[in-house]
Amino acid sequence: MSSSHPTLRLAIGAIAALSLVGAACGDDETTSTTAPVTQPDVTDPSSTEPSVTEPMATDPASTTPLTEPMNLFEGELVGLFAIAAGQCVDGTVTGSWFQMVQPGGTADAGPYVPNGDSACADTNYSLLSPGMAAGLRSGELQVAPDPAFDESGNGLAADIFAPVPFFGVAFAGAMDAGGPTPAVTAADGELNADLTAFTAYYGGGTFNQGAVATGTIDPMTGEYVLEWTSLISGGSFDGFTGVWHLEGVFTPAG
Amino acid sequence: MTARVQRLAAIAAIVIGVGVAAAPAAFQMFSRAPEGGTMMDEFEPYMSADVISEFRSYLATIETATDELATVRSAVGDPNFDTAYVSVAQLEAQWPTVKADMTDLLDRMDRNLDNYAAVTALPPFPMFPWFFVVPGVLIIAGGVWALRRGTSSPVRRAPWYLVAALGLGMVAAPAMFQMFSRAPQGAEMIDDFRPMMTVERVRDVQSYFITLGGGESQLRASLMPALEATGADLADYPGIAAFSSAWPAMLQDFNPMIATMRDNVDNFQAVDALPSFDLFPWFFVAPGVIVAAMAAIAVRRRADPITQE
Repeated sequence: MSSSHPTLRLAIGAIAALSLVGAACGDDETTSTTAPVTQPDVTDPSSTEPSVTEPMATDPASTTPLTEPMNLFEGELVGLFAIAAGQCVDGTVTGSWFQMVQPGGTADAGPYVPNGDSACADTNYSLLSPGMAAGLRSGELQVAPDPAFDESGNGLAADIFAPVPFFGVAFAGAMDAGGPTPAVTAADGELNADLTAFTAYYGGGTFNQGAVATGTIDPMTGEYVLEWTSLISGGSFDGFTGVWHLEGVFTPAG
Repeated sequence: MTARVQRLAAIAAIVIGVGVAAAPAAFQMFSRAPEGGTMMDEFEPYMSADVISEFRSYLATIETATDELATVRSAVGDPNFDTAYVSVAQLEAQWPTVKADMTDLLDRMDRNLDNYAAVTALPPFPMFPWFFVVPGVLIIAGGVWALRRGTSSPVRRAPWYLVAALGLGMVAAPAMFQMFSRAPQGAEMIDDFRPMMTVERVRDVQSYFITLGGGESQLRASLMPALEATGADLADYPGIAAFSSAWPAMLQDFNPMIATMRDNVDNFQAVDALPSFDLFPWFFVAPGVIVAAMAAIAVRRRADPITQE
């Protein structure tokens, strides 16, 4: 046992020296591309090679790129928030959807308005599918066509999402022409979106469904989630609350 | 003595004028009357026999569909019908209540068509306050003028002629505008609409929309396909087919009506907070008679010696 220590020390010293030389010779690009791979090892307390990574971890110049993934989506985000189509599989709802809460209810617990035209077994969910523009564009007002309804009262706006049958008549969504242009900002993966101009078109009537939405965005992939609720004041749906959930992938303009 | 009587008459006219001019502010007419006007305008599309008849036909269509539901229920033969088709079951169970309440609502509108027409034939609601303010201010002016001039000459009697004319005008105005018949009709309409113009009643009607819409969509999208799968001929259920066919039109018509009810609850309450429509003619006649009497008393004293101050 005691005779093996010099050999072990020599081996560790050699590995450490090689590591330092390698680190000194490597360029920034190589370091950054390997960072997401090495990051879990550095932060993982169960790592079995502390003696090898320790020297690098204690070097401020080398640890910064290793511990912070590149954030491609920060600040004002202008572009397309593509909508992933809603789906109901085995009782689980994924993708983008809408719910309507009855007066006096809550967004989390309902009671909701069941939509007999829903494709889900749980008819409280109305699924959304991407429209002609594939989704919501920030920095742009996606307004409804004129006329906004067909003769049966179906909403015709189909830019953001395809009109959704609800009680036999399709509702549509678009931005009110007089409202503010949708603006989305990201900070550390958190989204804040001014969607106050968002309007639902249903049965010949228009209902403001806008709000400041919040959500998240994956700083590497652009996968996002945006959610908001909007209480209807006045009109035939006074007291009802729309619950909106959009998810998909953000693609910057240009 | 004569001068004193004349002075008292002028002061009385001024007081009456102040009362008349201040009445709109006291009764908040400047805000409430326009709200009443808005309500009358927004109800206009629904206050017609044809529209009410169309709504009644919608109820009849739904009634026929719900009559067929018992047959559908037994034909499908699903022991878990009430849970498998919960919206249809709710429609079936709640329809009698929905029908009764909606029929009551339509009845109220129907029997007030003449009353509504009578009220709309009155001068526009937003002008109501000015029918008090303008004569009130003129009576005040006439009273002040009379106080300053006395009644010793025809020229000096002019303020009293003005006050007398204003008083007689106020007496005549309700007759000119047929307020003695129309105002009570307005009062009757307000009384009859009171039970339906509440947030609670609108909430009920909104819930009927969920019952009807939810029931129809589940009928069309789930139950009738399930019935067809049993080998049944859907043509044997024309009532349900008619309901589904008419539903988009019903929705388009019901939606704005519910919206009109909801958006005018506050307006109705504003009108309801005004003095009863029955009293409105007398708000003109009573001060008009008093003011005209004051003028007559003052003018009748013109031959008496006047002590000018």
